Amino acid sequence: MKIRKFNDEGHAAWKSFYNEVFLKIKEVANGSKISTGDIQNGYTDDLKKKYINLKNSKNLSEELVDSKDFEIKSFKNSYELGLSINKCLSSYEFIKIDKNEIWDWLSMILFDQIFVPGKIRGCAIYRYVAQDDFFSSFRHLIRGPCYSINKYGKNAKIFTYTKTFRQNDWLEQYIKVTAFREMKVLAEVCMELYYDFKKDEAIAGTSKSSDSDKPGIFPRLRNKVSQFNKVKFIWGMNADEIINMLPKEFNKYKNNITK
Amino acid sequence: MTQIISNRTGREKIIKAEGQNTEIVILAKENKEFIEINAEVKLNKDHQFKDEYKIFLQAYETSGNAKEPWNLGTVGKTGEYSFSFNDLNIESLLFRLKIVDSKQIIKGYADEIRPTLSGLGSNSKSNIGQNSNTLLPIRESDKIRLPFAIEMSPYNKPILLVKSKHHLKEKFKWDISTKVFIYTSSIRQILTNYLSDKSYSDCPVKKNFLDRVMSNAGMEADFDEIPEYFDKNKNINIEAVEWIENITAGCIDTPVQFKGRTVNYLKIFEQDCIRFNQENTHEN
Repeated sequence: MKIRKFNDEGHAAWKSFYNEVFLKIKEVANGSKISTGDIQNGYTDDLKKKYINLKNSKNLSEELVDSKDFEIKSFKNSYELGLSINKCLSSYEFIKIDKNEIWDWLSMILFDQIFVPGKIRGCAIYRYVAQDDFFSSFRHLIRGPCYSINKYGKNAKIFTYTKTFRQNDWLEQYIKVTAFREMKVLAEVCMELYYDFKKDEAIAGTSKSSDSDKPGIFPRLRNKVSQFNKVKFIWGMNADEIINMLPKEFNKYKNNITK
Repeated sequence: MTQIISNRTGREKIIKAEGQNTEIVILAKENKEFIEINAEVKLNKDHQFKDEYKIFLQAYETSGNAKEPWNLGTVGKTGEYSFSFNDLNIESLLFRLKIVDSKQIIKGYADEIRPTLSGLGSNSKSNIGQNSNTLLPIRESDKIRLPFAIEMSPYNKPILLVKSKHHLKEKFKWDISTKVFIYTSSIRQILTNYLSDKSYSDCPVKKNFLDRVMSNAGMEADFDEIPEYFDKNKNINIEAVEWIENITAGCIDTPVQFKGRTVNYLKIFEQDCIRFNQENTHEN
């Protein structure tokens, strides 16, 4: 099956469907914080039927002519999912396929893998319906992984090692810092310092902390890179050179023994 | 032992201001598909940069994307350069220039370089806001989630961002109710930031803004009388909040020229509200 994009009618139908899901869950939560149980109870049989009908509807989308065949399988994590989609769309420049109508069609097709009642803890609309605004667009559970894999290649692992239905906090923390987002080498630095290669996941507690001064974690790296940026041309440096400049507080992570 | 803290980076400052001593001139022209940049570097010999030092120019937006820096050759071989891109907004486009030695140490630096825009009319003009006489320039942005936001930083004029594709810029110009709502919130927020954030303490743009709003409100610009935002217990000082409310009200509730006539936005807004209420009552 080739990857497709929603037409206007299809896109409106998808947004309307997910808005209905969201409102139903909120109704069940009855003003309190949404729990996993609320999501399970809010995604009613009636909504499940509506989803099946929407998925089986004809004439709501059109094929992307140059897409390769997309195999829908059970993806182990967002990295596998993003890699698979990017490979299918590799004949397009990313800017040409960075369209909400495509991300949301994929969101619909893979809904049972990204919306898993009982396991998900949040149901914010931006996870399933791509948003126009810059930062929310990265929180889409299909677009976020695809963007980061397209931009950072295998170093996007730290942003996508999580289950397909989870939002990755590393991606959230990393992407909002312009210098980091744009400088690909810094994704490699984060992988080298903070990725547990044995467990195949980020080292716990490294993306953020209630104590932003906790030695050696990402908020400290962010501050250090900002300082280095004033005296060194980081764009011209490789990951090892940057890591070597880091002070003692990073030693624990510099000697990442999981590699 | 006393710790000596120095913030000296050893970088030479590159002159970016327009004039005879300018060392970097950037011309930006927007075509249908891309933005075309022409840059000319004329480094002053007083810097004593070595010929082999590399020159890098980076385009970026005040809050958003940044491009990978372009290599403009070396200090020994400066000249004119041209390149193009299509993923930055010309209205918020800025550049930074770095002169770098072989160990990647920055030897020369200029930041927040605004390009001269051309191709937007018969005369070239400089970038939005900084040189205009407008109190609060407006710019469309796709980087904001809500309909409008204030973009401000020390030494830069605050800019009212309105969500792109919503035609709010036009609506703002012609619809007084929208104007009153947005202006009230924006001026209040800017004043709050100016009074509460210490990073604006030496900002000349802040002084100019306060001058203008106090003048709009018909008040004497006496900076010594502006209350501190936080009291000695670090609580918000109610006097400062009241001062902000008074100045904001003074700015909105003042006669201005609109579509060739003298109007008072707040009065028109009030009349609109009353008329709307009466029309609804009649229908009922």
